[in-house]
Amino acid sequence: MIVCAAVIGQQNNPLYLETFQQAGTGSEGALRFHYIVHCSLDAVEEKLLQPQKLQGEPSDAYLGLLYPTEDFRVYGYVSNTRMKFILVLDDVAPKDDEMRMIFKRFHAAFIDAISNPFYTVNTPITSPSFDASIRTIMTTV
Amino acid sequence: MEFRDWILERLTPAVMVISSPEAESMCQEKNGLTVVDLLRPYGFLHQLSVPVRTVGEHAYRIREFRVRFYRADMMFQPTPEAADEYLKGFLNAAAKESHSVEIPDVMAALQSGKGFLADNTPWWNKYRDEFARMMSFGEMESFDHPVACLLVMHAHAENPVEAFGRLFHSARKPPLMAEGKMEHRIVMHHLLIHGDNVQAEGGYARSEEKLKAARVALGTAAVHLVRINSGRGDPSSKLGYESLWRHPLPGTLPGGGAGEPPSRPPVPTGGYGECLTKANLDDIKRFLEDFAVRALLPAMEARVRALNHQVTSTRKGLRNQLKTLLWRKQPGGPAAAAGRDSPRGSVHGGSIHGGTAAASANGAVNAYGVGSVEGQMRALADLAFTMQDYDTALSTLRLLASDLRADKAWKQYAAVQEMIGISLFMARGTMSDVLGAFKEAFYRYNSAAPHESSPRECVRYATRAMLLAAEYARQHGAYSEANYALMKAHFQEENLRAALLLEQAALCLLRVSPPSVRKYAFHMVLAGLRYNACDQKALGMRAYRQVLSVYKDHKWAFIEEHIHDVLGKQSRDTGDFDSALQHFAAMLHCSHSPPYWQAHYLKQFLDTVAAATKAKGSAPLLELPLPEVDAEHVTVQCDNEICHGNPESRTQQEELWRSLEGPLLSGMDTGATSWLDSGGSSSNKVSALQLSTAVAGEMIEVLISFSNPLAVDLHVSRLRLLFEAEPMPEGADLRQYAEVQEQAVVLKGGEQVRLALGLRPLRPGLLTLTGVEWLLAGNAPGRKLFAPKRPKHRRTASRAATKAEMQSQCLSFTILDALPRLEASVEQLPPTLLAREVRKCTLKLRNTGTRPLRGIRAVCSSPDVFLPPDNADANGSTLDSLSSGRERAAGTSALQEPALRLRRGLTLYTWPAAQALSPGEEMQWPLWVHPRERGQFDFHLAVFFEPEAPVEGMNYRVLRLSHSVDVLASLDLAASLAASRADLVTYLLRLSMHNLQGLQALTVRQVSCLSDSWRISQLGRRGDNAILPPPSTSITPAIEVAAASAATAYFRLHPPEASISGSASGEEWVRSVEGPLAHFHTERQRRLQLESEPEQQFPTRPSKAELQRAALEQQPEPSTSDTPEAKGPDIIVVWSLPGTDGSPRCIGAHHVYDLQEKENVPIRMTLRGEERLRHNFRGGGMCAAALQLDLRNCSDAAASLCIETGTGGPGKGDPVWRHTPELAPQSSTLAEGAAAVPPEPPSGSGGSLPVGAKSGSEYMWCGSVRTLVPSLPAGQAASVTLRVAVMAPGVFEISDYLIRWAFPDVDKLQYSQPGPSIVLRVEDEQS
Repeated sequence: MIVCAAVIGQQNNPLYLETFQQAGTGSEGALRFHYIVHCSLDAVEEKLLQPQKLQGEPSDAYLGLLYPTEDFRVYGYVSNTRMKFILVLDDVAPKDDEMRMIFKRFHAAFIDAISNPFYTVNTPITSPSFDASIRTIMTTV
Repeated sequence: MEFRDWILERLTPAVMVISSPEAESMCQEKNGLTVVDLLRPYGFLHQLSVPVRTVGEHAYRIREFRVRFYRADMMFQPTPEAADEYLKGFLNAAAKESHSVEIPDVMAALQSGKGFLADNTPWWNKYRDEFARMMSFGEMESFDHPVACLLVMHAHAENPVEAFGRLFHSARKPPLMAEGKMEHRIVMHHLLIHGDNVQAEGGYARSEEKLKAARVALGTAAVHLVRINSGRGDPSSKLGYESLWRHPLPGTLPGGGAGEPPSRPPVPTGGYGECLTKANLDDIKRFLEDFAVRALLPAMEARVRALNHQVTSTRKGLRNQLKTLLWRKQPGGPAAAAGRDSPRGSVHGGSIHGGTAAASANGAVNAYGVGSVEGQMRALADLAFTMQDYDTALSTLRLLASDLRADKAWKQYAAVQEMIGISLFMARGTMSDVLGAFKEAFYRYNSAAPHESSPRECVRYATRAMLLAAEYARQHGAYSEANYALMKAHFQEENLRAALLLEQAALCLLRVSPPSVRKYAFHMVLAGLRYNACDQKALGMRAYRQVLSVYKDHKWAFIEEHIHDVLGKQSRDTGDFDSALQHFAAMLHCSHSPPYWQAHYLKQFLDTVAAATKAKGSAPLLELPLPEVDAEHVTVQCDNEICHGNPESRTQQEELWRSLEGPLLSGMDTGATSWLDSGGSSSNKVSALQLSTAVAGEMIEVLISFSNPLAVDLHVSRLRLLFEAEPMPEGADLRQYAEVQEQAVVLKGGEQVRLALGLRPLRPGLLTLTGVEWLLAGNAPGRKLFAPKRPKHRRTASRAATKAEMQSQCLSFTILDALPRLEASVEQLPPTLLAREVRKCTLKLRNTGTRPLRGIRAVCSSPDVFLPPDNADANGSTLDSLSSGRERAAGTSALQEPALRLRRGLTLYTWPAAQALSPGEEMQWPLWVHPRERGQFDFHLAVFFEPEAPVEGMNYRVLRLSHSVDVLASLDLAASLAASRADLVTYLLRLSMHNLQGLQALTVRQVSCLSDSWRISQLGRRGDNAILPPPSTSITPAIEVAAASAATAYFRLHPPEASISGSASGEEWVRSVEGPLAHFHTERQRRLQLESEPEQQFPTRPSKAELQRAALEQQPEPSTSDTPEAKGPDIIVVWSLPGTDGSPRCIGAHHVYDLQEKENVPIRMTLRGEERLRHNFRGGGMCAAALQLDLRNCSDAAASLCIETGTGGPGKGDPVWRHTPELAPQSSTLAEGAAAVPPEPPSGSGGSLPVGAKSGSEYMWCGSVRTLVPSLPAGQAASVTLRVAVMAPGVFEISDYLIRWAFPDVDKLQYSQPGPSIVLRVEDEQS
């Protein structure tokens, strides 16, 4: 199950971070995910630095498993504009194709949210409809 | 230290030392050293070359050799609790030193590219060594087991040989040896110590004799004599070797253990080893070399060979392997859980005592005693390792590992794997092999832990394995491996060790490429958490502080908040209020948090401030984040040369003011510089440019934005500016230099305000505004310093606008001495006006400075504002000043010269130079406004003045005033002009009025005609001429136009041709020919003229002389310019709006310029005649009536006219007989002049009489059908008499005639028009 979803901006600043855990966590849990997501940026940067396998092959936005912590698995996805999408899962590894699909829907929802003309680029996303669509994506998995 | 050295230092042969109490006291009393301590520094033997042969055929040489000495009874592993207690105490001591270690700025170090290589955790290496020491003397590994026993006896004993025997038997052995888990058959060596301080008989010679005797009994190589305490302990004989002794002294545990006694002897006054001389030390050294080379190494060599032989016979070879394979399968079985069934040691052959410890009581621990094959193999491996024969060690360990694996003795197996790792490293194995062995050891230790009686011990061993792996990986550059190993190790560990491990793991992450800073930070935070959990606050805070730089810039607010929270609380608890406040203040950047937390953080901060105030007496001044101060965009408002009379004046564009001030400053040295000027004294100019100027005693205001990012209200009080004054002697009171205004404000959640903070400098000099200071919620002082302004680029600074902007941001001031200051206000200016209203206001000029001023000049931006040449009407209402007939008193003061009209609607007013205003004096001047359009009406005034006595630094000042009034709609007026049909000269003026303001009816009070010689009159009814007043320049009709409705009025206008004489001005309600109304009327025309002239060469700053010349040239022009064409009349329509008491509330004036006829009528005509006729038809037949047709040529050219009668009017279809005469001059009379032409009898109507009309026609034209007026010059009138004959009485409308005309000089077109009709009433005389 996905327990946390985050969008990280180009300057590695969080634009959106929401946790989807069951009751009983509270702000402590949120703080923990802040740390985990922040930490995962190192892995994202590392992955981005790796050379492409083939010359001319389009780089895949889906980065795969970034790193496993004690209890969680962190997956990443990076757009062409270097927006990072991070998902934290708490159980067994899903299939890569499945994760890819989730990330694509996540990305599409994000694009919808920032297409709002009243949204200022590189500021936290507070749109309730974005939040709702993310919750739909994350909970339907 | 390198890993290899570290291994070589640690894994060396151990020697147990048993010393007699006398020998001990001899050492301890004089030198503060135990016997072991005495020997230790010399245990490192180098420059050796000892050939040894272990298991192989070939001998090799040992070049370096290290021997460890331990007190026999202390060779045991302390309990985990005691060890942890010791380690904790050790770390506490290290933590105290941690304050002195600088906390690095990680991000700065990484970004600078220098890396982060300096070790900032000095306690770690010591801790690691101590931890390893606490783990020594374990029962599973034998490299800490003694390989030799050294018996030490004082040389003064009577019979040393016997004493040695007694000593050995009575002494306490290591506990493991007593349990039989340690090999006890070890080589014995004997040492006699001769102390020179003991006054024994015979002295040293006697001791030597005893040595000889002992050697005879025990063997030559097994006994040595050492002489000590030859020195006297006085400072002169000190060797300075104190550190030699002090350095290797390890810490002690309360119960002893880990090789060290429970306590150390007291340190003598002269330091350790104070009675030892160089000869003594040489003695010891010689002894140890002898001991190592001649006793220890040969013994070890022999033992290795013996063990190897035994192992070979029982374990190696095909037969043994098969045996092992078959035998080992029996007891275990795959179903048996690892470790639960006790693996029994295999005993083969006639083995040694205690070997079959297989059935040890608890059944779960070590069963491989020293006599078992596994024990022997382990002993062989460790001994070979210490003999530096790593290959033998490795092969033996691998063999042992396979056996233990088969036995599922995981703990022992793990220990062997650990040793394999070390041996592999020493034998230069690959990194993956080495790390693999360590990881295997770690894994196996951990998997064995739950089944062991003391799981903590296993965990500690596991940690040790990972420490070895991490140290190895780190020294070989594999930092990610090191990080992995340390992270793995920390999971199982108790808090303190976990924290240390996490910290090291984090540091490893900084060295991987690229540095994983964020992971580093996360691990550091976790380490901090663990430190805090085990009460190591100092180290915990250190860990948190290190990561602050990673999370800076408030991007990851939650994380930052957490760290500041922890640090703040800990600092507060330790009483460090300064840093607690800093952290709590940083937490106030919490706009992302819910309001409850915001309030909580604020309260926490304020409580801490209160606590700090209580503790220290005053709260520290902090750069508080609340409220948010926009220090970047600070705008200074101060008056220098330029004074702002009202706030609106600041909002206007600088260009506007410059255009207004240009005429004022013309001809003055305004200090304006060009690039040419600035070459000479650049430094002077630059400094002048950078500093603003202000005047002592006048307020400097700074506009600063304050905002509250939180959702809770903020109470900010004592908000004031901070400043520095120069020159300021030490200890001077700042209050002497300036007076600071304080403000208080409550900022609601999310509110932003822009406040003007004031400061009044009191004495000349330099003054710099440095920041702003406030008190938050009544007790937390905060401040924000302004960022120093960077010098602007020269090019941008040269632009006027940017320069002004820069000056408004410059926070340094040159304070000048007191100057006069003019304050001006426009009184009685209502907030709204009606369009075209005329309103008198009062301009009040007042000198509020302390010096007199003079030379007042003013420029007004709008042509719709007028300052009359004198101030006679300064008081009184608008109507009073406007109304006619009032005696005007002469003003007390007058403008020096008539106002100069300048371009762009500007007007320059100059007061006489002698007009001075002393301090406090006031001058009032009427100021008329007359907005023409609805919308917003702005006007700006720039008032120039000079101090009467020149003041250095400022020759003049300019006051800026700006006013803006909303103008509402009033009356919409359209005037049109049409030729009057009643006569040939006058016009009808039609005024269509629409009252656009929907509230009140307005009254048109006066219509004045301002053009020369034009007159206006009321339009009476036909025939009422006598009652009407004669035409005059003004009439007062009083037409009321109801609210939001329309009305139309007609007036008659008399052009100059009408030649009305006398009664030039009639009754006037307001004066229209002179005064403000006339001024506003003519103003527009003159402006238009001025603008149409070619632009002069002084667009912004003409000199005064030029201005006057220009004005003089302009003056005569209005009179000459209106010649080219006849202009229509100009009229003013004055209206008023009644106030509450009936008197007019406001008065407005419409100006209508150059009224022209709506339809240009070239020929005007009237038909006159007697309208009532009496005629005796019976007597006279038909009645003839003479009608006079007056014609006037109103066009510009001479016209030729022809009147045709009987053209068949609309009602008459009958044909008329006509006679067509030639167009020739006939009986027409030319009338000269414009006077009314009296009807002249026709002199001769030429042509034949009309023959008659058909029967039935009611009237008949008589005379010629066509009458010609061959040429009528422009502006001239002519009369033609027409005759009509009527046959019967009745009413006739005479209309069927036509006037044709042509302008032969202009074109060949012919125009025609039916003539005006007249109604003729003919009565029979008889009836």
